[in-house]
Amino acid sequence: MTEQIDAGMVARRIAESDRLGSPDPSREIGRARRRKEDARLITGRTLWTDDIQLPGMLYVAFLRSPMAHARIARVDTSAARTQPGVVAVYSGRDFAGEQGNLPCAWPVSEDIVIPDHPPMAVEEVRYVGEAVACVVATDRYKAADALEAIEVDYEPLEPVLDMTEALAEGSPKVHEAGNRAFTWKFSGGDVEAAFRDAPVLIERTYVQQRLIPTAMEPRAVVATTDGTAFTLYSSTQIPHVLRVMLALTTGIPEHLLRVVAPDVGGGFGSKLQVTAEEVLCLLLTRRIGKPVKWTESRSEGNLTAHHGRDQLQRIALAAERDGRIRGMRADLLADMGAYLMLVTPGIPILGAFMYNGIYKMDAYDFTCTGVFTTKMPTDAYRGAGRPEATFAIERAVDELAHELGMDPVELRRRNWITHQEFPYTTIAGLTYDSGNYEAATDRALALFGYDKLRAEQADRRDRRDPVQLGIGVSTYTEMCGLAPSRVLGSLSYGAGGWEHAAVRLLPTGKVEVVTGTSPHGQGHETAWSQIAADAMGVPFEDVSVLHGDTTVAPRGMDTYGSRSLVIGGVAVLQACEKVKEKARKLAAHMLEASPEDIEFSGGTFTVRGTSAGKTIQELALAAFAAHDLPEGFEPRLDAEVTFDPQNFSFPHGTHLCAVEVDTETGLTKIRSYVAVDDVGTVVNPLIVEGQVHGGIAQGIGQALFEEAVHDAEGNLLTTTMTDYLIPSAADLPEFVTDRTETPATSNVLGAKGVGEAGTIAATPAVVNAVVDALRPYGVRDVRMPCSPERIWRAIGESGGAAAGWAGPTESEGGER
Amino acid sequence: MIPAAFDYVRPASLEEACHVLATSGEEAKVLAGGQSLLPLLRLRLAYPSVLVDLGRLPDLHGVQDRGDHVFIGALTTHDEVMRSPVIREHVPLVALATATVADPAVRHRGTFGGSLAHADPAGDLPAVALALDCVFVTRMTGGQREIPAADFFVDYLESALEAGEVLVGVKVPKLGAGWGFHYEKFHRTAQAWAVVGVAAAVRTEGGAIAEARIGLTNMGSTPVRAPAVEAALRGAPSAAPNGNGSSNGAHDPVRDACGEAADDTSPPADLHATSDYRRHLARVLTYRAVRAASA
Amino acid sequence: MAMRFEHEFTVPVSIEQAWAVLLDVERVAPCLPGATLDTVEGDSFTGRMKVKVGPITVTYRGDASFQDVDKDAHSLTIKASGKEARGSGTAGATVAARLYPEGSATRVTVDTTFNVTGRPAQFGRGVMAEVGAKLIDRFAANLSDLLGEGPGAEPAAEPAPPNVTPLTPVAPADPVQEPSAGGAEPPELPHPSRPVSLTVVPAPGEAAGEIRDQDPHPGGTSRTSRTPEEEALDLLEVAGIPLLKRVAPLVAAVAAVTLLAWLVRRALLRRTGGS
Repeated sequence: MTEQIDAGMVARRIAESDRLGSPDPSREIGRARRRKEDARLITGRTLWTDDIQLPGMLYVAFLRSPMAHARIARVDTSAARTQPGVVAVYSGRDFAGEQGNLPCAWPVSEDIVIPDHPPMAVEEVRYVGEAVACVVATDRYKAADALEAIEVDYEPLEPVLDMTEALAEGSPKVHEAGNRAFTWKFSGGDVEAAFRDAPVLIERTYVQQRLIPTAMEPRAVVATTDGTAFTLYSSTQIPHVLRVMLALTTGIPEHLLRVVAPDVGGGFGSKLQVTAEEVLCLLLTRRIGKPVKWTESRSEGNLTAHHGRDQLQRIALAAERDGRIRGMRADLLADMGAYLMLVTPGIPILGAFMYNGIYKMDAYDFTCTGVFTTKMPTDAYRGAGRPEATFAIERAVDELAHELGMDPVELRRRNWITHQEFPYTTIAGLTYDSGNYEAATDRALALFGYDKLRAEQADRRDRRDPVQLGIGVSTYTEMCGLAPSRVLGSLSYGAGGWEHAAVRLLPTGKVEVVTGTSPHGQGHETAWSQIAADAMGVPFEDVSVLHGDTTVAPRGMDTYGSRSLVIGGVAVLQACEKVKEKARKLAAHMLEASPEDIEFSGGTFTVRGTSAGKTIQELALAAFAAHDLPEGFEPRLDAEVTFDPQNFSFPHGTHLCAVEVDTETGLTKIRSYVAVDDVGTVVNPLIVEGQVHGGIAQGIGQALFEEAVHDAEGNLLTTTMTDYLIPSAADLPEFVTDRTETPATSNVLGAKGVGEAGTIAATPAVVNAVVDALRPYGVRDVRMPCSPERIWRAIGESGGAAAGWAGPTESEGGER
Repeated sequence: MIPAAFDYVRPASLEEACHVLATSGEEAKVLAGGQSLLPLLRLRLAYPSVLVDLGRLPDLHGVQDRGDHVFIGALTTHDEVMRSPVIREHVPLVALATATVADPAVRHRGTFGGSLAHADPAGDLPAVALALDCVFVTRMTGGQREIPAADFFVDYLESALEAGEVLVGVKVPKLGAGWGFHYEKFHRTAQAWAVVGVAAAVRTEGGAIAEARIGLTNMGSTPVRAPAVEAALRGAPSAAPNGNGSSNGAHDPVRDACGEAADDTSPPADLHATSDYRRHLARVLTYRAVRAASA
Repeated sequence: MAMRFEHEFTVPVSIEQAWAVLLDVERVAPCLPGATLDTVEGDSFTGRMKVKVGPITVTYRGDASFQDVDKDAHSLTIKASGKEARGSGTAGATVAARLYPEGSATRVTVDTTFNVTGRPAQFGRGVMAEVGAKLIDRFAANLSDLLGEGPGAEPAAEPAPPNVTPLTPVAPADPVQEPSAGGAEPPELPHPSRPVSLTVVPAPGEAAGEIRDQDPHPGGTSRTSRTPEEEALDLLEVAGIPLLKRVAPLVAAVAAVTLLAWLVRRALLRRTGGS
């Protein structure tokens, strides 16, 4: 590898980000501000959870099961207890009466099986990595040493690893109640009719491999108590949800439990969880009376931070000869892993409404069966259900295009909802409020040089070039802004989807914004400051954003599902408006005018038609002094808003990917990548750019690199980053990004959400490109990740050996 | 993860290092950059009782032009190796391969000798050392020896170094005029280990390949040479039949020769490649390496 | 991860002599490199085993016992299980050995299943596959030596010096190589015949589907069936050049070519129903 990242490239990117700046310099919204939180995040001047030190703090280490499935015959902690520095050693049995079960907040169906899930296993272990005992010691080295002295006798049971086999008669059982967790069905239109005598039928099975979210900051927990009240610091996305759930799980009264999410270094859904370690640290501090800390290692995290995806998708598309899609069937098996964690069963269900994508069709049928296996539970991972759905439809549409001999972009045009048709209620029952697929696609095609690349592709095919070119299209949409509480309730989700904000005008005219969202890398402090600065007419620098501490920000639903700006940002805006209404009354009082005659502009309230005015700072001080307030006016300028939208938001976009596949080795190189996204109104283009870049990288990760692999006994083999491959900047091309903008109608900002868009769009774009490159060899699918060996074998198995070097069949055939 | 306890010794001289290693028994490990050893400690797959840190021994550091060979001190970092003008001029294959090792952070910590002594067949440098017939210079209490590369790599993660023996440096022979070099590394991400790597040194004379040396990375428990290819290449025309080195077209004796690259190898199977895919890659990559080296 | 190995070799002693040695745990146990026997009580014994590969060291403590000892069929099974001395991982092995009379000599088949859990198993780079294969190979080699000595001889020698590496099994899921033609010296074979790893075969429960799926899968996976020709070629490969290189220092030269031919023929016979 040569030096991949040069200073010039960085400079170009920064210049480009400046170019993205707002056309209106007087407005904060739309301005490509550098993130105000980054300096402390990247210079080590913040406190990550693991940096927290408390007097007398003890360190926790967990002994984890080496078996995928076994009965625990005996746990002997006596030798470990005598090790130097060891304060306590406990097995699951020692907490059996106290630890309860980890919660599942999304019982998707009536018939769902929710097995007991003790934080530390008591009778049986069901995945490699499940906690069976813990050590509390005076430092983490001693804690780790003492783990080695704990004796556990396991009686091995049969592992359950394959979903199809798990559902077969006679399969060993993960839980007494069997391996089927639930079956969830949904349909719209007359599916039978749509498929009956369909001129074209596409049936495919796709494997959504298991992924490991791999946040940059490993999980960490600190728990402490003063004897009455408890504080839990955790590297979590969901301090508010966690507080409620921990109160319910541990019996610690909610009002005596404070949860703090300090600065958090990424989550991607993996920290949208109530973890065994959080519960146990709380119980340990309660039992021992001293603060305790646990920080996972990377390999411990790969084993035991929840995994993502892992679905088997059977997809069918019925279409007319002209390409019009009549209907779709999606039949999924979703690997739950060994237990149902916080929203495990809901993840595939979130995708249920998206399999129809951006397309019009007459009928749609969805079935999902959740399956237990002896693996780490799955749960939310960037996109959560929607990437799987988008992958399936976008791959299937490409297959249909190939079947019809039609350009894949043209086929999409024939089926998508046109911009005149919004708002449009889809066959899955969602109402897409706004969008313009034509505009985004046309822009993407132009930036990509689509026709020229197609010409080059044809030329390479003609020449039988060993390096083949493939072009992949992905036109995605997603439901974001989770969500309307009513809808979540109708889906049996255990909580609402509102979001809360408080805005306080301080005596000196500075603004404090308190948000219930819980940023872990998204830049909320910057974006919320921009919203408040615009709304309040104060400088950007005069706004601070408080979050992540249930004492400081007591109400919230936290950050996941591309919801923060769309729900939480809107709540901030609405709270600002409320503060301004109060300030207007005060201004009218001070200016001796009627509130109706007061205008607000640039931070100053003026009497219409006069120059008489009060700045918002003057009003702040006047409210604080409270010397002369209107009758009944409380001496403060602040407000709170809880916002619950009527609908989801629906960002969309068109991503185009060109890959070069070396047919001699199977290696895929991404040559160019164009993303045109429509995320509605953009508050900060630089942040949007960052989210899109990171999202695409992660989507490419699924397409080409990442996979959690277990062996036949259920050992996870990808416990280190040597084996779980994550692409770095050196493995990725420069992304060409652009945006179209059709504002959302479901919120006053017009924002749609961007956190997951790149991940959702990129995976099918890349795999479509890989398969497109291999079409001349008769290849119609490559299982993800499309590793060089899989591609090489796909070429060989298709019988179409690459030019020059033979594929596997030919070269090895004589020896088989 | 968290390593188990160990003693740490940082000797001030090579003699002291040899003495400490000799008296500490087989549980002593040399720390020479630590890019492979420390992960094993952290995963508790290695429990050395003593780490002997050679990091402050000046004798082991640096690159010297010694006439017929270049001497590379064992503790010279990868970054220093790939930037050394002496290495780039006289033994460029070493620089080419070193530039593919992991990432800049690893290359600034990891050392040339540490990487070779670790004897990982997936490491990039062992195959280069083998292809160039390097000589490993070692010291022990009361003696020293020189070990040819062919005898140095004994088995998976096992070198010929005995307990108490320290790798001081490596003599890399200069091959002289007419030689071209290439290291062809196939890996899945920029930082990943080689799935297969090919180190090629080719001497051309009068439009034909006069001599070739091929070392293979990750094609067995140790790095291996490809003697069949080396023999078959002799006399083959150095220009590709259609002139551009691509794999299309007319009969190509070099291609035929490289088809023997996987002969007599027992490549491993792991998450990233099966053995037969590795064999296939060895053939393709050897061809590319030879073409690049003779271009 | 589970691995399975099959070994077969012939020793120049009678079946009764070989059987007596096979039952003598204090002599058989040291055949496993790194193993130390602590206690022996009847058919059960306890011990330790240290596995070392370069800087990697894993020590197991555990017990083992003879099971299914069938003196008429001359077959027995040794079941062993252990735990890491430091760490939560486990290791288990089942060794099924059977003796067949071959005139005045004895043919021995050893079928070993080896299962590892815990940190050593949690890697994609196949460290344990590498280790397991070598371990079992060396065990079979040592056992071959031991049984060849017959009863009353000294216990098996210490494991071979480091420059003599154990036999490497044919890598899993691989096409068989043609024996290299020409250039190779006639292979010398040890006496008694060195055990050869016939194959690394998939452990029970390892779905053949995964192999058909052509997914790279770490050590232990393999082909599901092989033809006699392939088997024979494997023997050629393993017993040929690589073997020569590796065991030559240990053995006295014998009339290798004829023995080799005999070995191949035996394998063919076995596979075609000869036994």
